[in-house]
Amino acid sequence: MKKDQGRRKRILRENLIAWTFLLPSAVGMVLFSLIPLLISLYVSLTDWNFASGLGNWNFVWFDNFKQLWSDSWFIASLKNTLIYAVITVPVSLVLSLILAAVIDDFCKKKAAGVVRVAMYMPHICNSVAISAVWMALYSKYGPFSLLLRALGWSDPPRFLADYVWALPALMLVSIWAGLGYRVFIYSASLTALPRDLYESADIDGGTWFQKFRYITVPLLKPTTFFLTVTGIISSFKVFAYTNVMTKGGPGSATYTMVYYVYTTAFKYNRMGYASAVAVILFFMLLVITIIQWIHNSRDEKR
Amino acid sequence: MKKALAITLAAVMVAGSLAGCGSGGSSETTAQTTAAATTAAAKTEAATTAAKTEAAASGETEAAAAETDKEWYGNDDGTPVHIRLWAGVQPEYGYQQLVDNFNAEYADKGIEAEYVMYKNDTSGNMQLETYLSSGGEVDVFVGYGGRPTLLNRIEANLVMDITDYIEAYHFDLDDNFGKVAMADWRFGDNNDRIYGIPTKAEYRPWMFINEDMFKEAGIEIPYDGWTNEEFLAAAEKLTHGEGIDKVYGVQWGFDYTFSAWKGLMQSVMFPYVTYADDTATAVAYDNPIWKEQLEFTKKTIDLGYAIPFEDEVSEGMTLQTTFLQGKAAMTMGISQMRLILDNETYPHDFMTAVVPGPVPSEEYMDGVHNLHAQNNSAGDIISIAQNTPYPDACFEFLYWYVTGGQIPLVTYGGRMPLYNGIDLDQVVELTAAHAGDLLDTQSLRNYAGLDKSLVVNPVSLTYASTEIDDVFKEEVQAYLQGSQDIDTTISNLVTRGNDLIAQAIAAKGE
Repeated sequence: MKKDQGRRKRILRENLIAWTFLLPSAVGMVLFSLIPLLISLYVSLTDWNFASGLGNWNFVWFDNFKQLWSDSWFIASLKNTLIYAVITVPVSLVLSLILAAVIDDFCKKKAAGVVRVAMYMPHICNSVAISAVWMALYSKYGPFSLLLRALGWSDPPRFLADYVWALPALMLVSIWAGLGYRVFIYSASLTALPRDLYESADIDGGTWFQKFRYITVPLLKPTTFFLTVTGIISSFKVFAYTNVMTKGGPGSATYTMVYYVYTTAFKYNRMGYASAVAVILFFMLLVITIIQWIHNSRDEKR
Repeated sequence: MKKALAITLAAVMVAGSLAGCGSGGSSETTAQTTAAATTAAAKTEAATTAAKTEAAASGETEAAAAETDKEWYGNDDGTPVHIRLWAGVQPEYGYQQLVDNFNAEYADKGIEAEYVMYKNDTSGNMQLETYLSSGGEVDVFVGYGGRPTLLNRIEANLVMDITDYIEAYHFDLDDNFGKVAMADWRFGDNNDRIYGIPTKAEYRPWMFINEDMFKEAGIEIPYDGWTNEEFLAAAEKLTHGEGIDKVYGVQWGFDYTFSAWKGLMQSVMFPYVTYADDTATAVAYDNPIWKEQLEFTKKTIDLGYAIPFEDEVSEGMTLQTTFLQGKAAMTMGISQMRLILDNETYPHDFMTAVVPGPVPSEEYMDGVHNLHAQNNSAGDIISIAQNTPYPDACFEFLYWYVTGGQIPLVTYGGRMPLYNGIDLDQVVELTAAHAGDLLDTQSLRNYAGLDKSLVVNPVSLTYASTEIDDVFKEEVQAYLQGSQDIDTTISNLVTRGNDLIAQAIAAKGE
């Protein structure tokens, strides 16, 4: 009996310690994520105008959500965000996987480190700085246009102001900026892969590509899963490049959902409506993540 | 022991970080409330003691008015109160000088002013509004964006009603700033409440021209206005070169000063430019002049005389990177006169003249339309923060500012005063002395001497004005970049604009 009480006490104490350590981040999470999330869920059902002050709102139920579907800016932002995610995530995953494998197999230890660090740099750079550099690259007299002219295209597009090219131009920046981070994660996972599989493949005379295809790719699946989830989430949240480089333009060609949330909330002061867009974004991400989890856990069981 | 220590430490850290903001905020609020209470008492006193002479109303300069002010605005313990002025202009374009002058003059009256610059863009205005609502950072501020912006802030209870102060100071606004100009800045059910005073006269349809280039091309300086046709002929002569060395006839400023270019196009339609009538229930874009003006702009681009829309946007072109570097002979953006005057940051060696932008045809060459005098967008509205602890000191500062304190903004910033009490010759002289050979003095005299009483106010009722402006920019860009024709553009402008108005009206429940 006494022993039991002592154990319970110990467990309680351990729990307490654990909670104490978790508390700072838990408090931050509740204050800056959970509570704002709940507030925005509530606000999305109101007609709150930012300028009219906190609490000065009417409850309009799902009016905001109904209105969204006839709003050409929202439709454009939804479409652009989906295109953005569907293209940037797979492309950057494939590229970074290949690059990680190539660096791992063909670069000498020191060189590999240098290459990885160099590729990682954009990830720790300010996105505004990145945007400024790429705006210069995309400029009418920048290297891309000069190259295209040298290749015989007499009047290459103004990438950032062109209805067709603006979105791909932003995607390229985002792929480039995120590549180093993904290569880094893949590289870390690669070093942890069991060597014996590769050795037996060598004995069987497997080529580099066969090893890559049948050993590396399947074994890296958990990493790929992680990068897909975070990649989709971050590509849905893209904002800085749009805000700095194109302001959603030309027209609404590069409007993304978060950019639209921003303009509706802080330019048009329509907090309720902006929250509705944010809530849609939230549920889209929630559904995508749940699907991915289910898919992944099913694979793991198999 | 170690664990216990860790727990305590963690707990203290969390509590500390939370309490840190909490208590800091509340003590500040207490301080403000007390201060507000004391000043509220002083306010009534001010109202009685500051039974001013009629000097202000008759339009004399600040010296006369200041003499009649109360002696001490500072704290009871003899320390001065510190007020912060927020505006959207770099301090070196006059604002630093302005607060320095004020501080020198008011050193023994207990007010100390400090200048804080905010960026006049979406995030900068958001920052200003956040500080206005949280209190403690802004006391007096200069706002932009016209009546709708100020109205929003009034409705959010961020701006102080200064009507009583104005009465106490016997300050006749109509007399000093023009009846019509002031009409746009009265609020409330009886249209008799004042929340801000416009300080700057600005005629957006005016433009800058490179006088040296004009002379070289043998073109007469259009001091008295010109038509689109004459403008086109000049632009043709002024355009030369190829590729990176090309000098364009005109830069419309699609990216950095869109509203100025829009202001020129709509000038002759004023005031029904965005809304078709005073009820603001429909947009005005089906006015044939809109079509004519847009087609004219497109023509200047297609003929190669104007920098294309897509180039301006993709390169983020500004007046500094084009006009001041001799890459365009004419440009919009009269509000940027400070950059023309600033030869240190933007060295250039040519003379600039300010001239009226072109009008569609001869029929608009009469006085009002020709010189765009009716298009005075009285701006730079100076207001007091609702929750400033020092309303007396703030109004004294505001009064000093609008009745002549703003002179450094004229000299260094090229911001023409709306206040009648400042003499035209003085404005021109001061600016010319600072500008040297950079500015054609005669042209400045024309600009600063426009009849301010001709101003026509924009439609004061507005619905979804920001959204409608964004739709305009979007559709017009599509037209000017050649991805849709003019009729589609006009029809989209009308449909989308009217939809937005209908939505806004429905949302207001009217």
